[in-house]
Amino acid sequence: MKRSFIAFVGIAALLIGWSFGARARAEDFAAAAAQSPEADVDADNDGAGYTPPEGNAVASALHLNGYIDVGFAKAQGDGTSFAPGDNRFPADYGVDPFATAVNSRGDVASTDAMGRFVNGFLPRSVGIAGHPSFLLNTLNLDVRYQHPTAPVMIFSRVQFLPRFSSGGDASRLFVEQAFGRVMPFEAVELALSAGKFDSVFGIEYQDNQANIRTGITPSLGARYTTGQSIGAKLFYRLQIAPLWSALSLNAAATNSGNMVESLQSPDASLTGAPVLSARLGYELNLAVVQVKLGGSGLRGPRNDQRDRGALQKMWGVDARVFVGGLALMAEYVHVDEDEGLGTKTTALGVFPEASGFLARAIWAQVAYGWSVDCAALRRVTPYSRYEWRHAAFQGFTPVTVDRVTAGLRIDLWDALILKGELLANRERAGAPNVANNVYTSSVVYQW
Amino acid sequence: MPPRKALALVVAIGALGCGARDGSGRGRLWTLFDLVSIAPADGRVAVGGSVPDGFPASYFVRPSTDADAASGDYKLAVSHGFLEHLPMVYVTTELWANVDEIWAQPLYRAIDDQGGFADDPAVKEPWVFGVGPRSHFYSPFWQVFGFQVPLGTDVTKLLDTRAVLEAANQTGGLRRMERRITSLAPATVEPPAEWTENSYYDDTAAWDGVGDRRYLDLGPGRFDTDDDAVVREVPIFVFAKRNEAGQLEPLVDRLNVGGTHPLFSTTPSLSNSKVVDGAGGASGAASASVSPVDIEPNFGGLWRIFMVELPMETGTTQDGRVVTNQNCLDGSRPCIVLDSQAAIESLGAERIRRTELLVSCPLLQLGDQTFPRKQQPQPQPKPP
Repeated sequence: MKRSFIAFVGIAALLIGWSFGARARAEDFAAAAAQSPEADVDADNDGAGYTPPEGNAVASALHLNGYIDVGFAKAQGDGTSFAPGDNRFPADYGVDPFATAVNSRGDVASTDAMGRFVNGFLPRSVGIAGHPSFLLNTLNLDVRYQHPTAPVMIFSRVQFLPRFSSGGDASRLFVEQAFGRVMPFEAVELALSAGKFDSVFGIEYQDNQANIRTGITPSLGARYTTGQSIGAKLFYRLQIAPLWSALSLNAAATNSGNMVESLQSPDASLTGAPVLSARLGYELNLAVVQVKLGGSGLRGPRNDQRDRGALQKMWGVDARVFVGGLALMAEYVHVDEDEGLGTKTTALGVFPEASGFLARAIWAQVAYGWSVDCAALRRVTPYSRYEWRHAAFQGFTPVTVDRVTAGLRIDLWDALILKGELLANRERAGAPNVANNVYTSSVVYQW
Repeated sequence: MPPRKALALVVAIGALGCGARDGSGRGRLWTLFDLVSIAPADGRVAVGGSVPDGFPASYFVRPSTDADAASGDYKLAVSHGFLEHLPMVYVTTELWANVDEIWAQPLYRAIDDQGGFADDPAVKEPWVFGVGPRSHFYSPFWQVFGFQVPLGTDVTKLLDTRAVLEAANQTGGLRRMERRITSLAPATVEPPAEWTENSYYDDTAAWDGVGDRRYLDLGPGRFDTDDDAVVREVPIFVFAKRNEAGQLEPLVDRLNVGGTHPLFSTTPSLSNSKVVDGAGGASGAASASVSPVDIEPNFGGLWRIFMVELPMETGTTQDGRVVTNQNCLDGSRPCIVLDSQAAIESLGAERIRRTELLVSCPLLQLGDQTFPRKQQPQPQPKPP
């Protein structure tokens, strides 16, 4: 861990020094992610999911954007949360396999249960176990086409994910988003989308991308709320100018809901019935303070089994306050899954049981974006987040874990982001104590 | 109880495993908690499928007396059958429908510095079960791990896997020990009264962080696992005939036959082959004495129910064995006594139907020999 940290500091110092020496100055980085993660994107991204800036459609109908996320990470132990001597089956029911996240996708250092049977409650893995390693977390390509004469926008996001597993190469080409959006009325802020798009639940999905997220890793609750899915979506916002306020509704009918694809695949409906989800939001936009509040809900068949009567139900609340450079965010989510029929099928494979499941998770983050106008340095953002999760599979001992995440983000020009982060994982109850803290870092180049 | 009535009762009990499958296709597990909860109302389990009416819970557990019935106290019901030509006695503790794999879960027990289980009745270290009975991954098949309790530790706090591992990490870790069949049960259930030498119960179990719970211990052995800790199943054969609708119906007046290895496989029949007297028995007599000292059977725990469609003419011997031709009993014609797996397999694969049902039926006796528990504490009186 110590050597990893030294390596990261070295790389960061090299890049910062190089940036200070540069003469070229890009335009001001208009959106400080720490101040407002949504500031990077459209106004209609308050719950509608990340789409790239509209830009000037007349000047150019086609936009190419993207980023490269290069990481360096080291997890304690063997890179998992599986405890030696814990011989219960399935291995992934008695611990939190998502704890050792190393990148913004939520990929963990390892999911190797050392031969013990697992039942599909797993994230994706980068396969580095407890070894420090460089990683190419994501090569992301966005293509957006805005029709010059019609209120139609088409967007696709394709990601290249080089990965290695104990079975050899595990790289993937992943279509994260692909949708079309119509805004039929000029005077009404109403957007209708169809395709594969971001979640509408809560707020953390807006930070999915490495170039948007203040820190590096998602929260312990992100697995339930930040997945993309395929379906149709409606976004409506009503501006109440006299009150400096706005109300928004973001609703979707999709194949799988909001869980990440390693838990429920969005690519096909296994039950034939849609999952309905929605968020109702309120925002207050004053000169010195911005407040955003929301409540979300989800109901529909769980899409990792074939019984349409086996439901997944979620509700959550979220809040954000922005004052000057200070950003405070918090989210709570409650998850309730019925027991499913037969086997469990996820993007990771087929598993014996679709067990009933209950979970509660909360996270709160504070970040301060310190604007610096010094050569290439644009902004320095220290941040910290507390996360707590309590979950139980049917008949299994409930697991309670928490995590303190702390890190530093440095923005250079408009094109380069440096981040370093420490995740201190703790097993509070149910799960055996295990050394599974993570140190991770990320260099994001965006265009 | 008159012998004939007793036989009829055990036949009925033995028939509980016969040919049921849950018609929903959903994986189901019925534990003693489920059975006790539905037994007073004459509830049934495994309803649907080839046996639409399922089986009464009273086939698994029943009160011994009217007083027990009034107070809601139950005992495991005893079943009889045959295995490798030998009479067998067993109880049935759990039933699964549409579940393909059963795992042996960890059971943590305190040991002394010599590696033996604590034998001091004054010290009531809990048996810490890794999984509780409300999980579909629960089974009564356990891999026991021993650990030494650190000095000064309050054993009443050792209530879940986390606590055990923390204790074990201070005293040298876990030690892999024997496999054991132990059912988790409500406090109103006991082993069969006439089999207290083979079974044991106590209220010092812990799971899910809660102690003072009941377990019914049926002793070590009688099952095996593969490398993934999946318990190997063996067949149990239930005789059946077709009804007017052409469906197989279990014959409740025939005693079941236990198998010892996968159907039509060449795996040795018994763990200790010297007790086997050959396949396809021509004689119904128990021919070999199986010593519980010599034999450690790796069967006799988890069974897959197979329905056996009998030929048109069958009969039974005086002790309840099924024969393929009633007229053979006087010795005038040859016949096959269906009291072993090999004899049943000789009927042909087309007469043997796999069901979706698995049952935990720990063997209590095979031939003249019982299977006493090893390294067990003395049975405790039932608490008031």
